[in-house]
This record gives sequence, structure tokens and C-alpha cells, in this order.
Amino acid sequence: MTTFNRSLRRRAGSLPFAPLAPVLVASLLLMTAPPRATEPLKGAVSALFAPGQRWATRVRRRAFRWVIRCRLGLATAAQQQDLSDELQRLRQRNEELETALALAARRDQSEEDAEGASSPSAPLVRPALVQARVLGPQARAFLERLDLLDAGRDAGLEPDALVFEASTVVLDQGRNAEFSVDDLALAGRRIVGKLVDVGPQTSVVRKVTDPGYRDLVQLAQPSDEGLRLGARGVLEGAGESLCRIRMVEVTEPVATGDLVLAAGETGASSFGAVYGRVARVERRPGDVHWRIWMEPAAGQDSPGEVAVLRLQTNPERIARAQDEVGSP
Amino acid sequence: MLSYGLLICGAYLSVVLDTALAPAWTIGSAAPDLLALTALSWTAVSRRSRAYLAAAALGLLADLNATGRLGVGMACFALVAYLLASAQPQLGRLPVWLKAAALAPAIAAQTLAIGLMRKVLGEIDLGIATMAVRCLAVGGYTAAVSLPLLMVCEWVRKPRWS
Repeated sequence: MTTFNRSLRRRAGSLPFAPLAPVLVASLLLMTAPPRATEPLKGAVSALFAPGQRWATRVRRRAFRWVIRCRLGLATAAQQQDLSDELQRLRQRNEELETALALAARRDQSEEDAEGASSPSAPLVRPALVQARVLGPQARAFLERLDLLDAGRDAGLEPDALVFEASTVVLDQGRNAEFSVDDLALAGRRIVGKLVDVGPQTSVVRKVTDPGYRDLVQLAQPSDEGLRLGARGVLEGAGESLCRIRMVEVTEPVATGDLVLAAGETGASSFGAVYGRVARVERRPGDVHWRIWMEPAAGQDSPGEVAVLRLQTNPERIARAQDEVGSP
Repeated sequence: MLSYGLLICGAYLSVVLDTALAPAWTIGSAAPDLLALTALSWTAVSRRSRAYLAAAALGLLADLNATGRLGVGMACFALVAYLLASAQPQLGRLPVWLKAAALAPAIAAQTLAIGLMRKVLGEIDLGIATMAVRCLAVGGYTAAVSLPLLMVCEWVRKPRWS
């Protein structure tokens, strides 16, 4: 105990510098030693530590590999969890859609049953689609030589009339396919235009953007519950990329992005044919109608093939009527 | 004798880990100087009055494992350990975390002294400001590493019986 206290007292005071002096002198001497003389010593020390360094390096590499494996494992587990959640969501959504589909089917069935109960038969007139190819300039020239280009002549359509080539659409079907003027030409559910001239074998389509094009349209706003039908108006082609919609009163709600649906009496409304979307809406002071511009859904280019929407009588109704006439 | 055995083992382990694990635990340009930590920790916790001589020996070991002239580390380790040993009675009364904090400037000073001497000898070509910042980072990092070691030392040395 006495020894310990003496040691403490000595350290609490100044430490003897004498033992440090030779250390400093030795270090100064070592500093002046040429590197060539110290290299063997360094080599020996390096060899002494080499096994330990190799072992430590091996341990470090293994630890790194283990850490990377753990990270990858965690990442894979997280991805699996995400995918599992996504699958669960999709299954739930699928069930909801199946339920909605079943409800809709049941509703349709009940409506049909109700119609069947109230009316003697199915609808008398049905919309039907007839496919037709769009003729290009070469095909038109060929048909002209054969005197088969039987539509569009009144509108000045000639094979060399380049003015019409870009804007006029000529179809390879006409009255032979029971086409008639004002039938709508569709690409999918997008309206390309209307038939303006129908010949025996060909017909001419006036595109939505062409000047003089007019049709009755109805606006519709997409919502969570589906489409909400809005105001009706008159679509007019102006020879520009955008069409005008007129006669929509400013009291009606209209917004950019609203769908423009066909609302004429060609059966297109029940078919759900789309003209395009509202691209611009303006209202100037004193206006009673919106100034609406529509971007056509069919675009500017003519499609290679269109479907012409035409109304046809229901053969079942005709047959039933004939049976009723024939029976006593 | 046992404590010297521990010191030798600690020094060996420090050199090995300093060289083998430097790429793994370097943050920016700072890595802990485990050999300096061993030397100064030994000086700080040792009750021997000439513990700084062991620190000088570890400094020589550092020189032998470094490129450049011998003696630089030896002299710096010895001087810093001598100053730390002078303050050892006050240091001994501090809690562990303050002891670790006190090691930070000591290690930073020692590393800076070595760097400056090697700069004077023309062995390294770094600006003094850069060197100082790096030395401070090394000091802080090493002090942080020293905390668990000092806690173990404290736990071993603390009498657990009456």
C-alpha cells in the first residue's frame, strides 16, 4: 500500500525526463540511418506480421461475403413481400371486377327479361359493322382505268387530283355492302368520318376534320363510377387539326379532357363511338355558348381499314313477322 | 508480466488489423490508428511510471511497418505518451467516456507530429491544413473505437469484492 502511494505521489509530480532522453536520441539516430540499412529489419517484421494479416484478410473477405449475402437475402425478402402484396391487391381487384361483371350480367339479363316481357321480340333495328379497306392513290388510279371508281366523282375526286388524296378517304365497299350516305366510318371505336358518297362498289368518307362535317355529339366526363354524360352539341369540321363543338350552353359543365361521343341517330350512340376529347374550352364575355375545340381520336392519318356502322333490321323480327302473317 | 504479454498481443493484433482492415473501415480518408490507441491506452491506464517507454517501442513497431525512415514514430509516440503519462493521475479520475475523449486530441497530436516530421524529411507531400484535418479525423475516429476497449479495461480493473 505504501509503495502504491509513493508511486502515485511520484507520478503526480513531474515525470523523470532522463529515461525519455535516450529514447529520443535513439530515434534521432534511427532517422539518420540509411534506408538500405533498415530494409532487412523491416522485411523481418513484415514477415512476422504476414500470417496474421493473411488471416485477418481472409476473415474480412468472409465477413464481407456474409454481409453481402445477408443484404441480398433481405432485398430478396423485401421484393418477395412487395410481390406478395401486389398479388394480394390484384386478386382482390380481380374479385371486385368479377363481382361487378356478374352484377352487370345479371342486370343485363333482367333488362332483357323485362324487355321480353313487355315487347313481343328483340329490337327491330340493330347497328352492325361492315369492314371496308381504304383505297390508296394507286388503287384509285387502277379502279379509274377500269371505270370502277364509282364514288366521289361529284366531289371532284380523280386519280390525279392530289388535293383530295391527302384528305379524302375512299373505301372499297359501297352499295354492294348496303352502305348509305351518313353512315359512320370507324377505326375501332374511334370515328374517322361519315360516308358522303356511296357508289355501287366504292364510297367516299368525309373525315371529321374536313370542312362541312357536322354531327350531333354528347360530352361525357370520366369519373370513378364510369362515364357521366353531359351536354349535347354540334360537331363541325373546320379543315384544321381541331374540330369545333358548338351550341353547348355556358351553363353546362365542360372541361378539357372530356370525352366527345357520337349522339346522332346512326346507331353510333348505342355503339359507344368516340369522336375525341375536348382540347380547349373558352368563354368570352357575353357568350351564351362555350367555344369548344375537340381533338379527334382518330388522328390525322387515314387508317388502312375502317368499319362502317350501319343500321340493319333484325332478321329475327322479320322472320317472326312473316311467320305471323303466314299463320292463320 | 501478464500485462506485458497482453501489450504484445494487443500490438500484434493492432498492426494486423491496421493493415488488413483499413480498406473496410476507412471513412473518407480517416481510419482508426489502432497501434497508437494501444500505446496511449496502455500509458493512460498503466500504473507504471515508465509506461511511455513501452509506447516508444510501439512507435518503433509502427515505423517498421510503415514506409519511410525509422525513429519518427518512435520519437512522437514517446513524447505524446510522456505528456499523457504526466497527466495520468488526473486522467485516472475521469469517467470512461471522458478518458476516451481525452485520447482523441492525444492521438490527433501524435499523428500530426508524425506527419509533420515526415513532411520535414520530405517523405510525404501534403498540405499542413489537409494533414491537420485528417489527423483530427483520425483522432476522433480512434477515440470512438477506444471507448468499448476502455470500458472493458475499466471493468477488469474495478474491484468487484469488498
